[in-house]
Amino acid sequence: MKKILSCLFCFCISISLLCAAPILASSVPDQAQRVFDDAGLFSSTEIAELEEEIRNFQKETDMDFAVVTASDLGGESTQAYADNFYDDHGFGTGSDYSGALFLIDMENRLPHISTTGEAIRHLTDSRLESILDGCYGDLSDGSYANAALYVIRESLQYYLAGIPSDQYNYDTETGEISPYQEPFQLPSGRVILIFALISFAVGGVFCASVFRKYQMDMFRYEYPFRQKGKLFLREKEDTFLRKSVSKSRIQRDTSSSGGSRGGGSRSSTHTSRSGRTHGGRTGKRF
Amino acid sequence: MSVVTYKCPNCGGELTFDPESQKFQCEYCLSSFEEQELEHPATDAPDAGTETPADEAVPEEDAVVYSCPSCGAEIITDSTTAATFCFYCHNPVILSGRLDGSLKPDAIIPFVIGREDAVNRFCDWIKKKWFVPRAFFSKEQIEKVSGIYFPYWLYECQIEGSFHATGDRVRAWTSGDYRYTEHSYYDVRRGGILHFRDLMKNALKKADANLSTGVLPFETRKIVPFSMAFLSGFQAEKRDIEIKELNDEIAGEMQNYARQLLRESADSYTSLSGESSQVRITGDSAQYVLLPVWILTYPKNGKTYYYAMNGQTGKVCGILPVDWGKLLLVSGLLTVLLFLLLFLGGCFL
Repeated sequence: MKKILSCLFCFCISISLLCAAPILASSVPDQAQRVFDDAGLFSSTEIAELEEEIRNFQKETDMDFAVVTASDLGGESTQAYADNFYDDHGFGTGSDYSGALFLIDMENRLPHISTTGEAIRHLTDSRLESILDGCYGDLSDGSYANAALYVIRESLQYYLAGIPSDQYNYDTETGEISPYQEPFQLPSGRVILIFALISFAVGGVFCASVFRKYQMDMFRYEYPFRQKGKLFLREKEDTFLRKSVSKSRIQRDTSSSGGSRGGGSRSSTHTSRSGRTHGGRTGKRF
Repeated sequence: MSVVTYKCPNCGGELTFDPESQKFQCEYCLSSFEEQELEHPATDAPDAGTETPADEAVPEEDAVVYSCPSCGAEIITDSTTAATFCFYCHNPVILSGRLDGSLKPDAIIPFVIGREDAVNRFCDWIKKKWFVPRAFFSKEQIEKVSGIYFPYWLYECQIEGSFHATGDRVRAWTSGDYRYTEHSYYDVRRGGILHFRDLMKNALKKADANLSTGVLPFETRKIVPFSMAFLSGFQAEKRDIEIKELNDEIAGEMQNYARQLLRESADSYTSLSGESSQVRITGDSAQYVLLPVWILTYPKNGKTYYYAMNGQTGKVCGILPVDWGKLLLVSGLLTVLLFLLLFLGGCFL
C-alpha cells in the first residue's frame, strides 16, 4: 500500500513538473525570440510585427537585433543592463557577435541602444543620437512599439548607407583610437578605362614630342626681341577717365548640421561586465 | 678676278687660320702668326689682268674659271663661292675679287671650333639622341664636315613709336554677403624711341634657310673687322641677297616687336582695349658679315641628311631619323608603367 501511494505521489509530482516546465521554460528565451517585453508595453500583434521587422533586419544586414523593455533593472545602469542582456542571451552573428539591442528602460524612462561588433562601426555616436532623437516623440506619446520599429528601420538604413570613410572607434576607457580600414577593392571597370586612356595619352605625347624634336625643333630660332630691343619711353600718360563698381550677392549655402543620413564618424566604446566591447548611447528621458 | 693665297713668311707654305689658337698656322714648318704679321697675300698668275674697278657691277656667270696661284690648275666654283680649296693641290684659295668693293664684308666672326672639335661635337650630339637608329652613326662620314663662312646681314634699327589705348584696372573684394568689383578706366599713352640690334638675316639664296637660321644665334660681341686671311683654310660664300630685298620683311617684323614692347610698357592694367599704335623706322644700318658654320652632308640609306653646326657656339641643327621600333617600345613601356602606377593608386584610395 505505501509503495503504491509513494509511486502515485512521485507520478503526480512529475506530471505537475512537466506541466510546470513550459511555464518555467517561458522565462528562458526561445532561440529565435528577439523581442523581450518584460515591462509589458507591447500588444501581441505589435510583438509579432517587431519580430518580423527584426527578421528582415537580420536578413539584410547579417547582424542581430533585439528589442527589450524592462521596468526593473535590478540595480544596474541602463547601459550595463542592455549590454549584459545582449551578452547573456548570446545574441550576435559572427565571431564578434555583431548586432544591436534597443532597450526601453521604464524604471528610469530612458531609451538605450547598445551595439556590438560590426554594428559599432555602422552605428556611430552621431547616428545613434539621431535615431534616439527621432524616436523620442513616440516614446513620450507612449507609442512604444512605433518607437522600436523606428529604431530598427533607421538602423537598417544606416547599415545600407555604409560605414563612413572617416569612422573610428574610440575606447572611452583607454582612449585608444581604431580607425576604420576599408577592405581592399579593385577599382571599377570605368576607372580602369580612364587610367588606360590617360596612360596612352601620355605615351602618345611622349612619342610625338620626341618625333617633333628630331624633325622640327632643330630649326627653331626666334629673334629674342625683348632682350635685343630697348624702349626709351619719352611719353607716358595715364589719365583717369571713370570708375564703375558692381556688386553681386554671394551664394552661401546654409549647411544643415549633418542631416538625417549624415552622421559623424566617432563610435565610442566601453567594456561590459563580460569583458566584451560595446558601443551605445542613451537617449533623453521621456 | 684675282685669287689669293696666304704664304708662310718662313717657308712659303700655305697658311691656314687655326680656330683653336685663333692664329695663322703653317702646315709645313708649324710656325704660327698673328694677323698683323701676315704679309700681303700672293696673287695668281698675270693672266688675272687688270683689276676691275670695285664699284662696277661685274656680270657673273654661274661657273667661272679661276687659276690656282700655287699650281696653276683651273678651279671651278659657283658664282657665290668666295673661298675654297684647289681641287688638285688642295691649297686654300680665296677669290678676293668677290670680296672687293661693295662686296667687301664689314665684319666676320672667325671660326672658334676647329675641325677635330667639330667632328667630336657632331659625334656626341648624335650619340646623345637615344632614338636615332644605331646604324646611322658613321664617324668617317662625319669627318667629311666642311667649315664654311656664310653671308648674313647684321641689322639694327631705330624706331619711333606711339601707343594709345584704354586701360582697365580691376579690383575685387568681399564685404559681408556681397562681392564687389571695381573697374578703373584710364586713357593710356605711351611713346618713345625703340632700338633693336643684332638681327641676323641669311644673305645666300642657295643656302637651306632652315639650317642658316637654325644655327643662330651668334655672339656678336666677338665680331671683328673683316680680313680675308681668316678665310684661309675654309670655304666661304658671298652674298647674293641684297638688303633692300629683305627690307619689307624686316620692317614688318621690327614694327611688330616695337608694338609689343610699347604695349608691354603699359603693364599695370588688367586689360587694354581700343588699341592703336604707330611705329616708324627712323634709322637703320645693315652690316654684311661672314659667320662660321660647319656643314655636314650625310648620305644614308638613300637619303641625304644635312646638318649645320654654329662654328662659334657649337649649336647643332638638322633633321634626325627616328628609330620607330625603339621609340614605340619605350613609349609602350612608359604607357604600361603609368597604367600600373595609376592602377595601384586606385586600389588604395
